Amino acid sequence: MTGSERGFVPQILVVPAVFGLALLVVPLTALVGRVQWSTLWADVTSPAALSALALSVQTGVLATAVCVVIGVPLALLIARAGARSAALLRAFVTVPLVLPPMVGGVALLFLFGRSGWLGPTLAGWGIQIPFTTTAVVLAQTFVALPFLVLALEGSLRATGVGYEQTAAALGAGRWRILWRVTLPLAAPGLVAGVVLCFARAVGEFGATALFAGNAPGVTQTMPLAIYTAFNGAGVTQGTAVALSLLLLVTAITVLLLVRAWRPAATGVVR
Amino acid sequence: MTGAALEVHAVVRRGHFALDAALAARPGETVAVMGPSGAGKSTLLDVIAGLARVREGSVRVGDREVSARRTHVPPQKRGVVLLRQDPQLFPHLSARDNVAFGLRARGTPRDQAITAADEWLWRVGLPGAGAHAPRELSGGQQQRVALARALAAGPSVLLLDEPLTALDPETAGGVRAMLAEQLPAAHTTAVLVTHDAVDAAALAQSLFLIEQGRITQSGSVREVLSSPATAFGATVAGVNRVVGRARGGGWQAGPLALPAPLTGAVAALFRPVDVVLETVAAHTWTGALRLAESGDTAPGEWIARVERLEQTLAGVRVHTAEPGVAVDVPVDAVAGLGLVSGLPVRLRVDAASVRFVPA
Repeated sequence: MTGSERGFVPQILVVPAVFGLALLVVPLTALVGRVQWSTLWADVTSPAALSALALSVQTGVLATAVCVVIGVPLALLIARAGARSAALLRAFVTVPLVLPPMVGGVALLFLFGRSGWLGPTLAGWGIQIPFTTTAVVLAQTFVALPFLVLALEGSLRATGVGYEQTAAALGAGRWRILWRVTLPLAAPGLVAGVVLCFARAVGEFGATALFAGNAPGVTQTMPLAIYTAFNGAGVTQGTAVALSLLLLVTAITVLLLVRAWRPAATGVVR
Repeated sequence: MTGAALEVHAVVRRGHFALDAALAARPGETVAVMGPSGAGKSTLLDVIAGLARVREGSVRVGDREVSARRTHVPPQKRGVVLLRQDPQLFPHLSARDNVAFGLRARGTPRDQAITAADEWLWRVGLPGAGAHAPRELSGGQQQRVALARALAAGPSVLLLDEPLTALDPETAGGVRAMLAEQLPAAHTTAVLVTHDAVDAAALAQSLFLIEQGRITQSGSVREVLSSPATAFGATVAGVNRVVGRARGGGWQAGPLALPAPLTGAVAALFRPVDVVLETVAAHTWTGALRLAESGDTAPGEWIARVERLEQTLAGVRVHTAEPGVAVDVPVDAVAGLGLVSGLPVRLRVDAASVRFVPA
């Protein structure tokens, strides 16, 4: 490789770059270093850990499903809106993404809580949401939905409406066009969105902690279990480290899945 | 017109551009539309396809009104299929599934649609290509698949928007021959937009010229190409069209005078190859003008200035100004005569090679 192919960035910048990389990688290495491999299996299969793991997977899958059901139509709406309304809608979707999740939790509490806008009405019907598993799913959906919507919307917009027009001219109705043309063409964005959405849901802590609480077996997901363990109650630190490792492995797997989809993305959308 | 398969009168306004054009096609007929860039050809197709609305006028497919001031049948319910320069094959479907798409959309069972699709691929000259993804096919093959897909959908009207423009000449020739075979075989009424008179001559029965949003000439392809009524038409037909005035058996346009049988505003039509080009003794433009004013020119002979040279398959086309006349010269002659822009030349056309039509 010649120098010109690498561009003309000042060479000294490699120093802060390496520091940046170290800051990201070294702590995770330290975490892996703390893992007690001899007790790893026992730690991961301890009742507290298993219950947190099961709850995380269940709520994560459920939240992702909810995100798909409401996020795909939302992404379609934004992708086919005019430039100005699309920018506005996209801003609304992006806010939860940049908002501290804690604030999301507080906001959900003010909507569904006992003195919130909807809380009393729901309570009148005998429905209580805060501090239940439903609250966990709701909190996860709130923080994860933007990932799915933005990834899919970008993909939909890049494909454009040319193929949809062609399909319509060939006599296909709107539903057939959606299932046979629009969604298959946006599949790379959809898969990336679903995977990121699931990863975000499983890792969700702040909004869940405030809105759903930390009840073992009901609302104590893996991140909450890890937090509790380090506060020295319920689960041991060994379990916490093991669960952290499990989340780390999940994250890397998710990343590899998304990466694996990239070549297909360039191959499909010309 | 009654019994027309397609009847269009489209009035569209887009900013400063106004389209007001009418055309009609008999069942099974292919109609060619030619016009300069921005004349409104694509807008006209968009109106017929239902991608653009009309402000006034109407579009009738068969005996059904699909577009009018207050009527707008959506594209998927018109039975009109548009084939563009870009074949727009669905990249996630195989060639076979692309062709079967229209049939499936109309509720044909899958196995029947697949059989029909394979048959269509065979007809457009791609037997056995069904399993290939569109990106594995060449540009010409993709355009063939797109045509198979369009015809398989059984459209009432097929719109072809410059289907050969993106292809290299050899491939385009093959696809043109295939279209010439398949369009009549399918008995599909078609509207072909093209910038190539060869396409119109090979594929269409009638030809409409559209300029600045209006139809300027229409008729059978032969009629329009042999008697172009406008400068654009003459360019398309590849003839010189010089408008002048005729009276008393003579016709004159600037420095060019010929005997003519008509009177009034008359256009002279002659082919670039029938013009003889010679250099003049004077090598400056003022010298040449003096020569011209001295009356040293015979009938059918005039002094002109070379505007630009254009490479053609047969040699070089020399464009001269006032009147604007094109002359075909073999490429070796260009070198021998030392032709460059701005050079004064003597041009001569035999009266027997000139046809006069009322302008």
